[in-house]
Amino acid sequence: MIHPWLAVLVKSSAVFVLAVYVVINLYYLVVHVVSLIELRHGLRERENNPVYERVDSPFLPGIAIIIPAFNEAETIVSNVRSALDQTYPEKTVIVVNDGSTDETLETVRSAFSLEEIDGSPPWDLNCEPVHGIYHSETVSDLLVIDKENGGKSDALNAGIWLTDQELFCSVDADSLIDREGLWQTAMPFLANPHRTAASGGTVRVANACRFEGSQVTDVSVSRNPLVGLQEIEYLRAFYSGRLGLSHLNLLLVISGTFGLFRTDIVRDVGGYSHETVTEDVELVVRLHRHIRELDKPYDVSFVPEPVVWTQVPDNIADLSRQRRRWFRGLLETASMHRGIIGRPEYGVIGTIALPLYVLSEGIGPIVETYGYIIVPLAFLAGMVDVGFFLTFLILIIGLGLFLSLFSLVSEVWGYRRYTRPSQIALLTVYAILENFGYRQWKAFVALRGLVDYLRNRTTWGRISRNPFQKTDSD
Amino acid sequence: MISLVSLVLSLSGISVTPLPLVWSSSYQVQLGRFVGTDAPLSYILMAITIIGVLLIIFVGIILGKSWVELHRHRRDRAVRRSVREGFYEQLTEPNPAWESLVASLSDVERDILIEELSQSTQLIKGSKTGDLKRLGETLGLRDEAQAAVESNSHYRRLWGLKIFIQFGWSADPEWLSETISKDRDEGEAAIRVLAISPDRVTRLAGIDLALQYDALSVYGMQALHRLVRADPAPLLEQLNRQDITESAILAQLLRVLAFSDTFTGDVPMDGVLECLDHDSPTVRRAACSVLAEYGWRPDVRDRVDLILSDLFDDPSREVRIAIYEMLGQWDDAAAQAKLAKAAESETNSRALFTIAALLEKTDQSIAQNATASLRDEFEPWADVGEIGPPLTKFPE
Repeated sequence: MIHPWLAVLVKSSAVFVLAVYVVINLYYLVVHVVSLIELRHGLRERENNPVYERVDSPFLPGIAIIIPAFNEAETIVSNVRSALDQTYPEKTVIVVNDGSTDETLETVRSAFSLEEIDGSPPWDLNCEPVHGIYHSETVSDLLVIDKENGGKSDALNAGIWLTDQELFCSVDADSLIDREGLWQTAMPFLANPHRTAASGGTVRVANACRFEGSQVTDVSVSRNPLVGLQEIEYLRAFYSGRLGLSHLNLLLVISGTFGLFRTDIVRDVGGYSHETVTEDVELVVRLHRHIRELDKPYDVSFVPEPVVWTQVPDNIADLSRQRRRWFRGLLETASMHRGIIGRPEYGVIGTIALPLYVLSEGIGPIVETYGYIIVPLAFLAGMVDVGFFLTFLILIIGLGLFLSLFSLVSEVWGYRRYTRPSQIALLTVYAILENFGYRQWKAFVALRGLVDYLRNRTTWGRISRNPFQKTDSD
Repeated sequence: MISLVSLVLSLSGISVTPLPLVWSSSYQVQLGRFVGTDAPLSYILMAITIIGVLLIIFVGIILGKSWVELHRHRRDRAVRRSVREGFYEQLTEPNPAWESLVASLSDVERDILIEELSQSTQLIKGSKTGDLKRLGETLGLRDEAQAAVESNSHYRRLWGLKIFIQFGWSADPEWLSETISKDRDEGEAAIRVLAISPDRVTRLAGIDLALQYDALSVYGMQALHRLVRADPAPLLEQLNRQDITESAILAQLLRVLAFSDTFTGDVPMDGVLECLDHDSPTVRRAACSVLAEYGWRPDVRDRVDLILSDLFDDPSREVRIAIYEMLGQWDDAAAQAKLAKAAESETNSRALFTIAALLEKTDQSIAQNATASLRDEFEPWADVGEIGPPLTKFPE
């Protein structure tokens, strides 16, 4: 016999787990439905709105594309070319070599004929010591900062403090931007120049895609299940997640892979933080906090169509490292900004967005892991009946399946980058498989992230990179 | 939260009452209930079945939609080739026979021709624009656009205005202001339609439309600029009335003015000059950028000279930079001397950088005498030019 108090404890835990699931899944469901509405609205606007004049407009804000690079020799040249290829006319590209120990600087130097500018930077760059700043003899609007290693946030800050462009765009060095990407991401700033503080675009998985120059020519779904599962995750996160959150003014995440910000306001809050490994999330939360304290109207927007292509980890070890880091960063951000949770003076950010974010992305995986252990145990011990156990499974698997498939609805009704039905069929298989093993594994990885956080681990963890696949004719 | 779960559980008839806490026997009891004697369990099984069926339908819809879109894409691609051929064949003729082309089209072909035509209106300029307009009229787009602007649907009105803009069909200002809603997107599109045939009446109507809003989008600024750029006198007159209270729209109007022609006759500049004393640094900065363009008017230079020392003390770095740029643009010995003098009191490195870059382009003797140390510090950077223009502050 099991002691009664233990039975009560286990049963209560099981009920608690189920309750958390219900709340989180209802939240996800609402966001997903709003995303679909917003997607439809965005497509209609795109179809009917008159077009901007793209050349010779004196009113377009200047944008500095800042590319922090640490040991990115494999991908950096393609990445810089994709930034230079952007159709947006008012731009500067700033590569920040963050003390790379590989050939990153030499590769860029020879590819773009760099020449060092004599003398020190014209003003303090708010970063680790700068060895030199280069400009290109062959390409206008390209600067390269070579500095001591200080981490991604330090590298981004160097670019932010050097530029005087009105906006800056952070781009990861292992990513390629669609030629129209910057234009589309800038749209919220063009539509509401006095309100927009930040905007982000969609990140898609590049592993199985083929590229010509810096532009994608063939979009494919990876046959590697680990990569394919991440393709579903990315679709869901962007088309079914951020789009809805943006519409509800609850957006807390603008991916560091591709985000556009007002330079002055980011400088006002001190730039990217060195205190967290997910500096992109933390910055957006801090911006919300800062502007709400100023009591100014503002927007943080998500634009679904601009696409940046990125390489995702293609092996379990790298993926585990990346996800542990993300989870650790989330906990760090939540901890740094715990003071605004539940406080009405921070509006929906303090009362809804951050609490739900912490609940769904932070507490959710921990509770989920606990649930995977406690509910079957309680069922086997007869502490909950089969109905409860099945309800648990329905909520986890059933709702999980619906949410996974929702992202595909957005894909086929929205921008349709995966054009062939066979690709959609493969993604459907991944969407189903995601809920049988992968999701549970991620929950356990999050638990390891929690351990890392509690042990105060601060390392990034290296993820291997491959060159982007070229088209056959290239 | 617990009560929510209790509600869910009670609705599905699930009991969370613990069964006898013996591992093996309890498991047997659970299995016994599982095989179907318990009513609540049948509800759960029914729920599983419903969810399963819904998932299958869901997957079917996703795959079906994907297949339909691929089919449509292939059909359009095949049709597009022949439509495009017919379109360009006629377009190269001195007098295109659009009527016979349009009469021969199916509905799908007509839609594709409209898409091709829309793209062509953005790409083809010059003598052929008249032919494109005529094709638009032959396709009935003008009537459709007019009906759309008069409709109750926001998106239809926007589409109608877009068609007017694409084909360069002008519209009566009174009709426009009566038909469009208060929505800013529509108002800005209407300003752009007015800019197709700019005259004093349309300019006044466009400025009135712009002033309905607290702030314009960049598109709205582009539209207004197109409307007033050749003759900004109505905009100057509006500013002289000094009745614009919203700083955001005021700064935007000033920016439009800064990029417009300056041959406005003797229209007074009082409205702009007053803005130098505005509370908002964005407005002060925008006013400087307007005055930079009017350095050829002695009355403007005299008024600015009277307050220049106060302007050098402006607390906003961005405004001071705009003042230095104004002097740089005036570009005569007097302005350069003032610029060199400003370098003596300026402490901000970004502002000093601007002065250095401006002096680099001016008379060497003035620059060398006044700013030797400044030149040493910034000279290597003066020609780089990629750092970007000075920032505007957010949010005002």
